[in-house]
Amino acid sequence: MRREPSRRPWMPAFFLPAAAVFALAAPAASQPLAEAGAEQIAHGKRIYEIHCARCHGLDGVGGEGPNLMRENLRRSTQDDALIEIVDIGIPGTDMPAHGSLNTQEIRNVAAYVRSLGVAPREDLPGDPGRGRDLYEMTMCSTCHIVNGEGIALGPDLSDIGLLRGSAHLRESIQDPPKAVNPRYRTVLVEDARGAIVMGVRTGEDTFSIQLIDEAGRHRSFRKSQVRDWKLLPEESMMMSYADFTEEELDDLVAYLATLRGPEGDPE
Amino acid sequence: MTIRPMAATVLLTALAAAPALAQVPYDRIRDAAAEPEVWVTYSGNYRSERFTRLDQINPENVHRLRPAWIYQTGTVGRVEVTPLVADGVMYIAEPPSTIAALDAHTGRRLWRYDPLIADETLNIGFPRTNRGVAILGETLFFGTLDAQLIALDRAQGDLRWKTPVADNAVGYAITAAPLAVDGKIIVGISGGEAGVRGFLDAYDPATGERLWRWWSIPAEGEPGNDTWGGDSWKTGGGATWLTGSFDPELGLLYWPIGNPAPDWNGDSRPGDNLYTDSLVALDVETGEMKWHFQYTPHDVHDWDANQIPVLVDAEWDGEPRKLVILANRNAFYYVLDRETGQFLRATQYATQTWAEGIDENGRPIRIPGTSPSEEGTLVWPSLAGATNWYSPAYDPDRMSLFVPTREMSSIYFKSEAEYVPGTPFLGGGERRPDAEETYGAVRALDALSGEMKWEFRQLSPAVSGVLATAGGVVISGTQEGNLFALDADTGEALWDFYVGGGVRAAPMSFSLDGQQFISVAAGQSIFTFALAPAAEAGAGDAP
Repeated sequence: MRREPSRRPWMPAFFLPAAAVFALAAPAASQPLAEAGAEQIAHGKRIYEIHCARCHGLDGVGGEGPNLMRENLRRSTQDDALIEIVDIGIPGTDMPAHGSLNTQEIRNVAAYVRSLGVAPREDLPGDPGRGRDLYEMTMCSTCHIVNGEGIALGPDLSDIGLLRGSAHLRESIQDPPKAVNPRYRTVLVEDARGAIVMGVRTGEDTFSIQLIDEAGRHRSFRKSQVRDWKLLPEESMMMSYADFTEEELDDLVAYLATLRGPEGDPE
Repeated sequence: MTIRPMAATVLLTALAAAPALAQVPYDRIRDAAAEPEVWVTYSGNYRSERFTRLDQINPENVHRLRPAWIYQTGTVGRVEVTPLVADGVMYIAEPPSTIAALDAHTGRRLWRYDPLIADETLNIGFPRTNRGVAILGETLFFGTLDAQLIALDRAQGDLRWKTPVADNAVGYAITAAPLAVDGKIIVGISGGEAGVRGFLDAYDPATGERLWRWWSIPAEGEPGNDTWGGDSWKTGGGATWLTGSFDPELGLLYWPIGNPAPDWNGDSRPGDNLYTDSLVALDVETGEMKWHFQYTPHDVHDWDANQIPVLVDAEWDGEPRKLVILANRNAFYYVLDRETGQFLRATQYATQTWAEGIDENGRPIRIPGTSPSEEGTLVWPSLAGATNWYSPAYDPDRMSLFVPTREMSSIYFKSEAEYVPGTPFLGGGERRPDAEETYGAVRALDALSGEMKWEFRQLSPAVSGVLATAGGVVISGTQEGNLFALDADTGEALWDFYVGGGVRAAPMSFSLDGQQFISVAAGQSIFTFALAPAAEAGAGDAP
């Protein structure tokens, strides 16, 4: 629905009833999306799952539509722009206008989308400094990059504190299959000569598969030209650190929660 | 050298006097199967077989298939066109509604016509794309996103006429290729997700004058209107957004009809909602409906019937019979008598969890509890269906229908739906289950029994159409960007090529100077392939 700007330069004073309604709605309308309440966000999430998840993925991980789990959405750094996109879509692209949503529903969806990129700051019990030491001691960096350091087998964790909440981070460490993006599957290939290659899948189509092997090298195989290949069960996707103590786990999660992008946290 | 005025005059006179070689009269489209060098209608012929009688490319040599040329549209958006080729020129559509003519030998562009579609033009429920043109005589016909029908002179792309078909402000649009028949251009519309009332139109190719309109949803007082509640028929969908088929002998058009609106909340439209999710047979002269068959009565999953109906002549119970076959989005394959619309058989060809089966009248026996709900209902197939608009191909020699198939489920939601003109009218939505193994396949179905002869599995659910060839290879693609060739008898993969963009269209074939070509739209480009000479194909190739 296209809203034309009012052609009247001023609101007539006698137009009181409408003005009064406007005044009632005003606090919610001027509230920054980032300050939306949990109930609003939960409501927005529900609408999102119906109208948006098909292209943007559940939890905003992206699909045919862009990933929304980022602090700065390219087309909508301002709340107004985000609300407008939810409302009228992006003309000239495949981003459609919403269904039959009312103004508050549109705001709630926008608030939910805003919340996707900014995990709420939590009071965490652990010590981030000790967590950092633990991160380095346990060789996390042999699979992950943080601020440019490490090896890129798994996802870059430089802004994981923005993208994920502590519960998700904790679960990812304790029980990887439940929380880890299925894109990072481990592949086992027996090549044409019988050599075994293991690595993390970086690409796949019907005829070929690409991976980063244990030495960090890019490898590519034609499925029809290897003796065998398979995706390992998700349980073996990565090492589970279930033997951490509760305290160590708290520390590690506290450290990961501080990772909010290369520029750190604009406090 | 300069051409002297005298010589120029002679040349022009000679051109004017030359017989109209470059014409595509109705007879040439009707007899397209006898002239496989050209591709003059969306699905290759009126039977919509998408099968070429060219047999130069075969299982033994298909590994030598190489790009002959690539044309880059330079546009953004999806290129989903099936090109037409006649007399050495290829005609394509680029998103959103631009038409281009290419030299079929080299891919070089000859001209381009852009009707300048405004940014605010609505596309509710489908991409801003165009799936093809029709050709008749010396004229090209195409629909636009803002729901106009345009006729261009095919030599230079000059405008002959344009005529408004419907109002885009309430959601009508045209993405389908028109169908050219004798003295008529048949045009369907999109817009079911906006709650338009669907129709099919016929226009005079010379003038653009409308000859008839058939409404896909009966008005008050007409038979079938009682399958809707209240005024729901006025916003009931039933779009006609995919090119249908034609039987010249029977004089009948076979057109598949879209879903009812709102898609996922059927409360406001109690009843079967005729003629949504149906195949209808219309008298080509008058637009009068001769029969209908509804695949999915009172649909609440958006399983429209906008799939290609293929006309098949075969023996049925020992009698020669005129059939129409269709692999439906609802996961069943149907055989009907195309003279009467009589239901003959349905066979499940993909995973489904919504029907116990199809009864003897062709009506699904629904499993209770499979409708969308507030909390979400998991049902197979997914919203995009077990197949979709992507063309199947029919090989009349093997009597096989090659169906691009999607193995996938959805969680369907239901919500309130309020009709506001020019906005989505959906009443719910869909999401994918969290951890689910999905895949795609080309499945070869026996045309009569619907039984699967073989399948070729793909990593992801199919989004590409299929081409079958008399050489015995079947061509299709993947959303990851693979184009591939299969053995028509076994489904074995014989060749593949990575085109670098999703293949969201159907391949076609033509020949020039004795060389067979295969063309397909993928990503933002048109790719055209031909066999490389054996010596050039490389020593590493299999013999």
